[in-house]
Amino acid sequence: MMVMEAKEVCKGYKVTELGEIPIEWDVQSLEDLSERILVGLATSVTKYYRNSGIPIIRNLNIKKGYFDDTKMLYLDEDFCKKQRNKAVKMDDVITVHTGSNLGLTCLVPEEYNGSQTFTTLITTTKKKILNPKYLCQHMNSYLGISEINRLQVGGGKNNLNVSDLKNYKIAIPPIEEQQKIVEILSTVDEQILNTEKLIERTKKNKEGLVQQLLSKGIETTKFKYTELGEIPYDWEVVRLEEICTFLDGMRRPVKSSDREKMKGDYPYYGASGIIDWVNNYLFDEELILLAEDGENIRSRNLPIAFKVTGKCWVNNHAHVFKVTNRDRDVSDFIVYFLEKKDYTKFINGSAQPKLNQKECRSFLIARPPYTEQKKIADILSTVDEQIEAYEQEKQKYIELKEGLMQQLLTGKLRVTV
Amino acid sequence: MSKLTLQELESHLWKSADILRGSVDSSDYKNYIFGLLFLKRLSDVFEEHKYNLIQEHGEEIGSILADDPEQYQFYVPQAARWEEIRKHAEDIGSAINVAFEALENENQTLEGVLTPIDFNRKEVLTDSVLQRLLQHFSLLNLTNSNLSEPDMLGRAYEYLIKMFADDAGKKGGEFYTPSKVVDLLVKLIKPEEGMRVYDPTCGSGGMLIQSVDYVREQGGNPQSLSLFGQEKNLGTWAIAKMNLLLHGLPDHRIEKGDTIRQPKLVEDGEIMLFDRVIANPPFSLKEWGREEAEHDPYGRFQYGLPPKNAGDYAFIQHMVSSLKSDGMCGVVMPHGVLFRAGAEGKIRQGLIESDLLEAVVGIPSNLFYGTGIPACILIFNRNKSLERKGNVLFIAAEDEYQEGKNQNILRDKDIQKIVVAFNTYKDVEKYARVVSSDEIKVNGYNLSIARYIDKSQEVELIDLTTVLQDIKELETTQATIKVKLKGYLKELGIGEI
Repeated sequence: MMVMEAKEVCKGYKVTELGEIPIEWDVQSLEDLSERILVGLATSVTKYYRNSGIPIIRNLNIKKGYFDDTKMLYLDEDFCKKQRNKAVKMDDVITVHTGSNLGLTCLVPEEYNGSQTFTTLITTTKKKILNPKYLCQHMNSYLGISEINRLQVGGGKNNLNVSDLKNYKIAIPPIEEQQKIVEILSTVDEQILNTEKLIERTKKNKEGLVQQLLSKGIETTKFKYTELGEIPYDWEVVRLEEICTFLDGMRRPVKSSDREKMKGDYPYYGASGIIDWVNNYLFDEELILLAEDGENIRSRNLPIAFKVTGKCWVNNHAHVFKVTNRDRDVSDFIVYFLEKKDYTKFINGSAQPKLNQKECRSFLIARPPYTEQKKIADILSTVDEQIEAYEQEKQKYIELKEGLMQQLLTGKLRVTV
Repeated sequence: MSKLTLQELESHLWKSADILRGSVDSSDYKNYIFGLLFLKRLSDVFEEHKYNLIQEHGEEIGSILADDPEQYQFYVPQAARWEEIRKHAEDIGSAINVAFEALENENQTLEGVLTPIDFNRKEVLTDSVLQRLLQHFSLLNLTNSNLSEPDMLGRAYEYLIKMFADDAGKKGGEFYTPSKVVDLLVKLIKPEEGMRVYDPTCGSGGMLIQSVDYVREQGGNPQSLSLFGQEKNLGTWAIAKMNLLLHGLPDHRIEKGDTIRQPKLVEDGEIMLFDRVIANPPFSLKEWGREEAEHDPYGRFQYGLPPKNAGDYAFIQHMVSSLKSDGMCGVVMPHGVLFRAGAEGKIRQGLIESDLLEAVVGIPSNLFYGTGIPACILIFNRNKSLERKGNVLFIAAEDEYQEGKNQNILRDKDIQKIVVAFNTYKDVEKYARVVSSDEIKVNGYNLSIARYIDKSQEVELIDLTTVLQDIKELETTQATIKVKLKGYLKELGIGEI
């Protein structure tokens, strides 16, 4: 007879179909934990759209853990009277049932009590045993995602229907524990949101500083009028070629198939950054690169100008130049200027936008004295560092939330109530 | 029974392509289908008129009149009548060819229109395929009384052309000009009663037809316009002829041939001149005829010889040299003609210095079938009014359109806005600007619209004090939340932040 060794279960835990959970917890299906699970309006309602009336919630209003009402549509009131059984209540849990955002869940806010929804899944939990906020956190977490995948697998379709949702299994703690877990997780959510706002505001700050510093300087009081508008009296208007030396002739493009044979440690630059790493270099000094062509000149999603130092290779999709006199001009300042510049007049409307060398050479720039250039570049790069720091902080908080969910939603770590 | 609607007709005609698909090369479809459509239409109208004559004049007189060719716009002899052709169970292709010949014999205006379409291709057009095709067409009643709209046939023709262009995916710059674009062009150049209108690359004849419609809408006599055109592709030429005839415009002169290499509309060794010249030439045509242009007997290319691989400026110069001393021309061109340097730059300079260019209109991209590139409309005028002399009006209308499934569409209000801007010839912020030729010269004769009309968004001046205040508050909130979080993490025994 084969003896199976029983796995040791930690004290205070029990084994269930969802793994080891605390003894006080229970595994249940959503059907047993809810007063109702249903789907919203499923037929076409386009003819009932009105400018005001009963709000209709659509998939795009459901974001991960929060309700987005920036684009709200409304339905005729009389029509909605006949659909009262589908109306949602405050704190109902609504879920996207199809498409790429399948499974995204949030709660119905108080202001939208009584609204209709279009094809969303609606769950009204039994408040005494399942906190809707807890359910929402769970459904948006890695546990919820895997559970929803499991429920979908049967049909192989990208669709979650009511009967699937009824079978959603969840390990739930006692209600007071749920409450505490919700508090902790939502605090982290708050912090993430706050950090996002900080990032946005700091970017705005940078924008404002760029506007101000690059045209009005630091604490200048006297101004003069030039072809670039009003600038500080001790600045001058010059063409880019007067203060930079162009090195376009030294660029060499290499086909990607050829680059396969020259893999190495030196960066290979294209229009908007490093696109490969090669084993040789063309340049070895402080340079400025400016995109010559590419969709980015139109869309500006990525930086269009950047400073590079050290050994590198550049292809013919970025102009290469360097500051002619490093004691008179600061590369970082020029990069900020080029990044701020508006290139719409070079977009001819046809296929590829292009900045040719002749044009670039004659870009007019308002040129401050050396110390001011340095100061401006320092201020702006400090703000850039601050933005970067916030971005990293945000990432950390996101990781913290992931980690906390792994511990708290499974009961591996217990909260104190 | 309800009348045939345009939609029904269009979808029925498109299905006829399914019968031929596989047997015939897709670029040939349209010729067979247009030919049969034309035949059926003429036959139905003939029978209808014949019937009406008898109704009106009684059996005796009626039947005499019915056999008199003078009574009909197009007399359909026995061999060409639909029912007659249907009687054949074999050699159907031959029977159709005979029908075409008979029709052309009886009607001079149809000479050479139908006979080039050869239905006697037994290898690809088997009797069985032709049976099915004829059967399909038999289901259509194309009498006037059965059409819900009088100009349906013409429009169905247009629809077919556009469907075929899509289906064949033919490159080579030969695509159909959407009717809204033509509408815009016509409204800009405003043809008037009694004028001579010319389309040197007339395709299926749509621009000429819409010019006539315009005159009618303005209350003028549409028949007073003299219509001229030339079309290189023989199949398309035949379609243009049929199109004009179906629109009730028998008085026209459309020549066959290559406009650049062999202009046919000449008089006493010189290019004929017209009041209005309107066209959508093939975009950037390679092999357009540079060798012949070098020795052009008509001296059309006085501003310079266009480069070998782009015929745009050849068509522009041909059109400009076809203008009477007070003539106007409107032409659709790809954006490249506005800024490409080299030989084209020199020609552009010459045209601007001669003060012939009146307006440059940027239209939205993705308007045309088969190509998504943005285009523009150039208006040339040999007789600019005083206040327009020395100036060019730029109109940046690229952003105003309606998105369609496969193409974008110019709405009536978009067309209206452009036309009003052109008529008033004054600055409209971020939309239209009157630019002096001096300023164009300073810009190296570059006509790129973005150079002259600044569409950049108003830069919002950021109030730094407010932003900094916001950041301060957010930092405070950040600190508060951090304290709270610290508390929780301590409770949980994880660690500190």
